[in-house]
Amino acid sequence: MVDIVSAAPATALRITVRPNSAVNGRWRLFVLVLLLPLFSAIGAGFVLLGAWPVAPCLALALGGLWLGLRQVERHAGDFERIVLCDDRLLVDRHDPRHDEHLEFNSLWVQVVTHGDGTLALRSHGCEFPVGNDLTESERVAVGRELRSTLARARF
Amino acid sequence: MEAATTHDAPHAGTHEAHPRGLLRWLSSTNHKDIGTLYLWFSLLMFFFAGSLAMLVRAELFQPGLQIVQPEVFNQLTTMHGLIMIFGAIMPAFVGFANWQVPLMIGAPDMAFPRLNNWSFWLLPAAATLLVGSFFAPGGAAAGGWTMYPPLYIQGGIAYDMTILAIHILGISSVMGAINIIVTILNLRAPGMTLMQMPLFVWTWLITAYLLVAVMPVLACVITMLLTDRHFGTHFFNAAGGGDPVMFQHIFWFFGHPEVYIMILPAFGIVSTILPTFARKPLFGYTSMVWAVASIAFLSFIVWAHHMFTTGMPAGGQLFFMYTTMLIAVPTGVKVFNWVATLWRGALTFETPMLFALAFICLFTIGGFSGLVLALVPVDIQLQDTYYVVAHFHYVLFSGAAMSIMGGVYYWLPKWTGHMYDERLGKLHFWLTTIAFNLTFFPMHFLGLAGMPRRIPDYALQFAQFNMISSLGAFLLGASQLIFLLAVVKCIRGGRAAGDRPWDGADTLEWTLSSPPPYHSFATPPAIAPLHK
Repeated sequence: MVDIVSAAPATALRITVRPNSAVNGRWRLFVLVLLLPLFSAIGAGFVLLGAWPVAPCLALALGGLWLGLRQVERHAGDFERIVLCDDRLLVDRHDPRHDEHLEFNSLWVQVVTHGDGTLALRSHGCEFPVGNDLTESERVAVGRELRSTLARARF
Repeated sequence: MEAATTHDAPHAGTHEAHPRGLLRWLSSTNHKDIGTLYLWFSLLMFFFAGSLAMLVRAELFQPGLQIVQPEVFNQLTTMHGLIMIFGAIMPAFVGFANWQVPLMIGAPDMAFPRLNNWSFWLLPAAATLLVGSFFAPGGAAAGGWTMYPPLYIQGGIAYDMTILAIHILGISSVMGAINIIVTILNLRAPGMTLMQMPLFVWTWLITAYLLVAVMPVLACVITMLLTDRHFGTHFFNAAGGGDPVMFQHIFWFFGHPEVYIMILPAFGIVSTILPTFARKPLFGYTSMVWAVASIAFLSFIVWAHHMFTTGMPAGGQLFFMYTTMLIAVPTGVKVFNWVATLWRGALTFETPMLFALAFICLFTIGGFSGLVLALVPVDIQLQDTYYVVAHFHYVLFSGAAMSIMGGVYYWLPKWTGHMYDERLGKLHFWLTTIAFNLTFFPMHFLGLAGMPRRIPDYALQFAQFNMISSLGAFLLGASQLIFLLAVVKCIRGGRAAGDRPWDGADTLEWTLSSPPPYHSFATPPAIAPLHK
């Protein structure tokens, strides 16, 4: 998901890119809590019958489902935020492995769109890619919005 | 003052360009490509397993051994069952899930696209093992699709190949199921609540839970078979103190939910087709969801109705008889709701609708014969007769396979961008329906008269019904070539379908172009209440 918010004054902008997540952590927990007694009952029943290998197989499957849901949960809070405020352009990125904070002078920073459709911010001879998780058309929209707001901020 | 626009971006990023040629199919993580692969794979397996059935029916055309020896006959029936279930029907429904679930919930793709690719590419390996086992010394496994010991403990290397193949198919199914659960729970478009999901998505969510719960049980029981065969354990070997009946309990604990794994998505397809061609919303959406969930729950506590003749306390027999009959209640709710959806609808009878209507009639026959078999005294008479063969073909062919055919005709215009040939579709439908009944209805009488299943030869009094059955089977097999022709013709061209070729269709996939873009729902769809 990308939220582009042009706030007053016209020289301010906040763009947030984050993955869509239809359920929250409580829901995911609910799914597992619902399944745990069922799987435990099946596993325990077969252990009592003497078919003990059923239990670890069931645990493996439930573990797989837990891993899948956890992977989604881990990335539910990921975001990339671009904020234009006064003379600063701030880029914040968050994912489970690292947090990144970049700060640019809005008078110097350039918005670059490459031939392959990728978007980057260029300043002081360095380039920093942004909007990697967007589709091509969304990158075009974000680039356009950034350029026009930066132009307004400069004059 | 704030102006906000919201666009959807797939979690893992998007690439408008994609590989071409063989690499596209080998390395694809796109849900539509993988769905297509699943559907072609299942069609191939359907024709292969169908050919085995033709050989079976050719052998049974008249009494006396004509074409194959008894051991080969048993290999044919075993592989027909295994390949139809694990190679044709299940992958076909997973193909539908891959194509339709993301489109119906407004998601850009499956939650784990790489896992999705892996899930599919395990299938050809498993199919190679199953088909290749015919060339193993002694031929393919001949102990029946249920893999009962002691036959599966005593057999040759083909039995190991079969067990390994089922292991691989099981792993693929569990991975696919986890992917589907996470996709449905997490990737629904903003605003789409669980009770706004199309019924096909609901049936697949519940099916995926069933898969995660019972596939490990199958994996485990065949691992125990394998250790009995090669590592000196005696789980099922009576000579070593094991219990072959325990295998049956564990197997059928998987086996009965497996039947619902093959039929619940069919319910979803039919529940999607009927409102479209009745031009009315599905009657009793909420009760349909609860009925599917109830059927899934009950499927866990009926397994021993497959084993009434193995010896069981009367209390156990009664319990499993009553729980089995209880399944008729939610199933009745579903059939009632389908009929109520049709009531006073503006019905038209295009090919998908014909398949859906045939499904209701013929699946109900299969359901009723299931009720007959649930009665312990009757089951003891009919166990392992052709009545059982008739029953499960009414459930799995006219239920699962014909709903798949209906679903293919329904969504082909969306998938290909072309309308299929309606004349070919209707010809396929009528030939299939007539031939199906010609093949399997007489089997009820054969079973009631006492003809046992899994035998290559039979007494003279069964000759006429067997001949009718075999003629029906040959017609049924031949009419599937029309299906292939209709599909190929539609893929190669035809009248442009338009985005929404069925005016009664209201699910999200019809808001996209036909065929949908390679990366669909770059912008999330607006969700209106669907089932009020």
